Amino acid sequence: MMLRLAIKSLISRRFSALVCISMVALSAIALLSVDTLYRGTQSAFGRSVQGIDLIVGAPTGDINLLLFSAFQVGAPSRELSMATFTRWQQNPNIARAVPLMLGDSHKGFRVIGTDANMFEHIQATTGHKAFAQGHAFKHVFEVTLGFEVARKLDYHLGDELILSHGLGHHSFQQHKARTFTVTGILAATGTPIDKTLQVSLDGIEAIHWPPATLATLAAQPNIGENPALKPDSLAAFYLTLSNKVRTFQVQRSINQSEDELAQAILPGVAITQLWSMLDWIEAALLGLGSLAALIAIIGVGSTLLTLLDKRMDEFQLLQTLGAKKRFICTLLAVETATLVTLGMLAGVALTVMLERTLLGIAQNHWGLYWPLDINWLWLGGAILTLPLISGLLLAGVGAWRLRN
Amino acid sequence: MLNEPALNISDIEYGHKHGPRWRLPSWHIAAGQTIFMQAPSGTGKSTLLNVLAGLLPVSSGELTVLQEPLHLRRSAQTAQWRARQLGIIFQNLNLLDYLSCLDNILLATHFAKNREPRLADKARELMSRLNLPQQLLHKKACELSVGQRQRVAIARALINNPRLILADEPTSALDNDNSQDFLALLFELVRERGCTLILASHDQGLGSAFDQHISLHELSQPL
Repeated sequence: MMLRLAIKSLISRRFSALVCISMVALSAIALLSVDTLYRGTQSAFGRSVQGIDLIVGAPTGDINLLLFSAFQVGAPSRELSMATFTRWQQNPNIARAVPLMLGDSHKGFRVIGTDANMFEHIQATTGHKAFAQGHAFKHVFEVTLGFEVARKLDYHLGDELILSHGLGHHSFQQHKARTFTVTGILAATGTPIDKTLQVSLDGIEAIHWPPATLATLAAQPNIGENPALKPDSLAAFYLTLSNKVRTFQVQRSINQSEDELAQAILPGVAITQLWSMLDWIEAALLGLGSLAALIAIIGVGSTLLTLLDKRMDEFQLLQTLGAKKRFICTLLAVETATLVTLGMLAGVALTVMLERTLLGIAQNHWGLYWPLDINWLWLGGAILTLPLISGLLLAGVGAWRLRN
Repeated sequence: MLNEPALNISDIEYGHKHGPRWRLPSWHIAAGQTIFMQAPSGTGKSTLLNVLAGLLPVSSGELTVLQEPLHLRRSAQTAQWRARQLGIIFQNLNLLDYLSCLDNILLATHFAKNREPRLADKARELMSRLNLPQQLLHKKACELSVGQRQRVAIARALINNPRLILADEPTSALDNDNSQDFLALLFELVRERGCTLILASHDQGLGSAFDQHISLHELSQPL
């Protein structure tokens, strides 16, 4: 009887009920979107350095080194010698070393000079095959494409590209002397790698040669075949250790190395530093979200209280029929909890739908990839407790209003 | 049981917490009587009926309604008793608009924990006794005319076989013909069941058929 009464009463007040439900839903959307977007950004950042124990570059700021090596933002101020890289690559503690040569671009996408270790690294951290199509470069004038680059520029295996010197979209110096052939397209990783092109270290060296010298090269030289193409410096390198316990030890010996000044950073620590610099953004977003939620709570509260006032006759009638106050308060609690639950469920469903759509758009337009990261434990807890709390509150107000 | 008094009042004081208060020295009603209580509006008529229904506590004196010593009870304790023993009819706002007539009638049986079999049939029977077409049972209360609603209120008041009916201006929302019909039907059903009836109204013209007339200002004095 109670449920029947609650349902029929809600249906009869469907307009106010819908207003309440939408207010709860909107505040849930506001809070959830802020939370999921922020957490999504964080986890996308974290994923970009997954599997990298140390990033090594010429001495600079920790965050600068992190940004230009892992996020393709900014540029190194100095380079490291290839000798340093080779020495650490051969160190028995190192499982994998990925070299990075930076500074060139193609139609606004950055070009990374690297070697096969990069693709091994991608495969190890994503858990799936590095290449969606084709294979890694084997020759100097071959290039592989990040997922987004291939999609945005509509490149296919076998296409010929010109790489430009410098990072601008319309670079003045285009390395027109030699074209690069696409041999592989990477699977999507959800990291900045998706927006890069990769060539061999020799390839980067080659495009900086004067055209006359380039002309002397064979049509398609193998990588490492020509000692003249071996670069003598690089921007940075990633290190993955065979034994993580040694991380600090290796970091210290790089930082204190007497051969060449170098800096090794723990990417996770640098990201944490970056976030702590940006924590005001999180605070501001959460503040705005909470404000929206607060406004909705006040709105829902005033709607419910107005409804309650209008229903005093109904409750007095129920009392004359022999309903106890407990019955009426429970009725109020059930109705309120139903409204809040429906509102929250609608809010969560809409947020998931909205973010799926928005994330899809973001992915298509900017190659941004965020996982839909919802803290289901918290959310589940909120969906269970908030209706209960609001129901109890309204029942309390009802009991107070029904006192003689 | 019929010999027991339906109502026994000695020297009670009553009133809403922040409103006017009254004193009622003495009032006795034998079971099965029909009482017309005449009172102009605003003289505490509804307040007294609320007291008799156990909805408002008395602050002193003794009040026994159908052998229930209400002066010893808090209003929360009288809910079950009220549901089982009383039938209450108001001027309007008798029915929940969003429930069907049948649900409105059965709501009273729910609170009375009335476990009689075939309550819906009983409701149907009462409806036909009250000249209400059966198809109204499944209509929402808000779709009925005022006259029909008041008759559904009689059915609702009688469904639990109460021993006392309290009616507060039940006809003042009705036109003359409707109110004569209403009273005739109410009397017929009340007499048949041997219920006690207390009907309060400002309209002296209604009183002709009752066993006893009483004027509220003779009964109780404001404090």
